[in-house]
Amino acid sequence: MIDFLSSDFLFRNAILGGWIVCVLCAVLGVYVVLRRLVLLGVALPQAGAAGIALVFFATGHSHGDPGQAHALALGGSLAATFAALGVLVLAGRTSTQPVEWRIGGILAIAMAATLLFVALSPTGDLEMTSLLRGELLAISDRDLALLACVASAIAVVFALFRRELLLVSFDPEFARTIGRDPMRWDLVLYLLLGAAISIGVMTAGPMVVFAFLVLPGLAALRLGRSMGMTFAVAAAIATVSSVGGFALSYHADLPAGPVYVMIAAGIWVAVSIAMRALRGA
Amino acid sequence: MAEARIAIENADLGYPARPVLRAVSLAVRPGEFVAVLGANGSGKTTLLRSLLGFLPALAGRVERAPGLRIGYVPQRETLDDRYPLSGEDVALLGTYGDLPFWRRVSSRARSRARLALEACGAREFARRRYAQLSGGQRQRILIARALATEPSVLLLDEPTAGVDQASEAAILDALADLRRDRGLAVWMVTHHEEAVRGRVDRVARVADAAVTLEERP
Repeated sequence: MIDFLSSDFLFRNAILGGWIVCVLCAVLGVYVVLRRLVLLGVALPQAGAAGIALVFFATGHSHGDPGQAHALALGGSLAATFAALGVLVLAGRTSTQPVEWRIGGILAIAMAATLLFVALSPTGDLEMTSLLRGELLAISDRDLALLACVASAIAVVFALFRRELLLVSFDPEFARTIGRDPMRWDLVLYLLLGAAISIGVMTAGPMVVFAFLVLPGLAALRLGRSMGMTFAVAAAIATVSSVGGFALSYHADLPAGPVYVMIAAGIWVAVSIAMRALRGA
Repeated sequence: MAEARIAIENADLGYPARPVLRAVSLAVRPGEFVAVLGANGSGKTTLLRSLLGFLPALAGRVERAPGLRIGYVPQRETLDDRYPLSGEDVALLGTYGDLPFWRRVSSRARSRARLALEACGAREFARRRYAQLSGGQRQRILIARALATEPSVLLLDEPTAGVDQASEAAILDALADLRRDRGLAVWMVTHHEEAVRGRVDRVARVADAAVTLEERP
C-alpha cells in the first residue's frame, strides 16, 4: 500500500495533509449542514484567506514560500477566522437582527479584503491562484506534524463532547432544562470549526474547506441511520474524494483542490439521485 | 410553599422591556394535572418559560424545591427532523444530563429510556427514525425523553397540537396515568379546552396579563 506513507514518497505530505483537512471538515460539516450554518461555512474560510492575504501583504512573503511563510499563514488564518467568529458571537449577544445578515456582511468584507490585499501584494495574481488552490504540494514535514496535532486535538474534543454537541444542536431549550448551556456548547462547536477552518485554509485553500464542510455532510445525511454512521460516511466520502482526487489530479495534471471538490460533488449528486430513485421505487 | 414544587408569589413575568404577566401567584403541586389555557399571545409560553427558569421574575418571587428536576416537552415543530435519530435515540437524550462527558451511555441509562418509552406506549415504534413517525408518535417520544430525565414536574407546550383525536386522547390518558402513578406535577399548555375537560385537576387561564386558576373544571 502503502508506499505513499513512506517518507521517501514525494507526495506523501500532500496526500496526507489533504486527507486530514478533508476528513476533519467533512465530520464537522455534518453539524454545519444540520444547523444550517452553510453561509458560515463560506464566510469563515474566506475570512481565513483574507487573513493570509493580509499577512503576506504586510510581510512581503508569498503563499508558496516554504518555512516561516507557513507559520505566518497559519497565524493570519487563525487571527482572521477567530476575529470573524468573535464579531459574530459578540454582536449576537446584543443584536436582534438575524445572524445571517452579519455572516453575509463578514463574507462580503472578507472577499473584498482578500482581493485588495492580493492586488497590493508584490506577487499579485500568482499569489491569488496559490491562495485559492491551497498549497498542498508545499506541505513540509513540520507543517504535516502541526496539522496532525491540531486535527487530533479537534477530534478528541469533538468525541469527548459529542453528546453535548448533539443535545444543544437538536434541541437547545431541552438541553437547558437538563443543565447544558447551549451558548457554552455552541462556543465549543464554533471553536472547533474555527480551528479546523484556519488550518484547513492554510493547507488546502478556502474552496476545498468550504466544499468539504458541506458536500460530504449533505451526502452522508442521506445515507446515515444514526449520528455515528453519518459521521463515518462523511469521513469515508472525504477519504475517497481526497485520496482518489489526488491520484486523478496527478495523472491528468490538474490542480488537486478542484478535483477533490468535483469528486465529492459527484458523490453527493449520485447519492441524491439514487435515494430519490429508491424512494420512488 | 410547603409542598409546592414551584411557587410563584406576586411575580411580574416576561422580558425586561416588555412584562407580559403581572402579579402572578400560583403553586405547582405534586400529583396535579393542570391545563394552561389562553388565546394566542396571551402569555402562556411566557408562563411556561418562567416555570422552566428561562425567564427570571421581573418582580416578586419564584421559588423551586431543592434539587427540582423539570421534564420539558417542547412543541414538536421546533425540532428539526433531518437529524438521523431514532425515537430511542431521542428518548436517550433525556439521560444525558446525568452522564459525565467521559462516560459511555450506560445500560442503566438505556433502561431508563426504555422504561420511559414504555410508560408512554412508545416502545413499539421507538426504533423507527424519528422523522418517519406520525405527529402523535413523535409527541409520545418527546414525553418519554422528558420522563427519562426522572423529573418531578412535567411541563408540556401544546403536546396535542396537530394530532388526530385518537392520538390526543391517548396522550392525555398517558399524562393522567403518569400523574397518578408517579405523583408527577403535570402542567400542559393547550388550546383544546374540550379535550382536557374532566381530565385535569385545575385550569390556569391566561388572559389580560393575569393568570387565574380554576379548580376542577
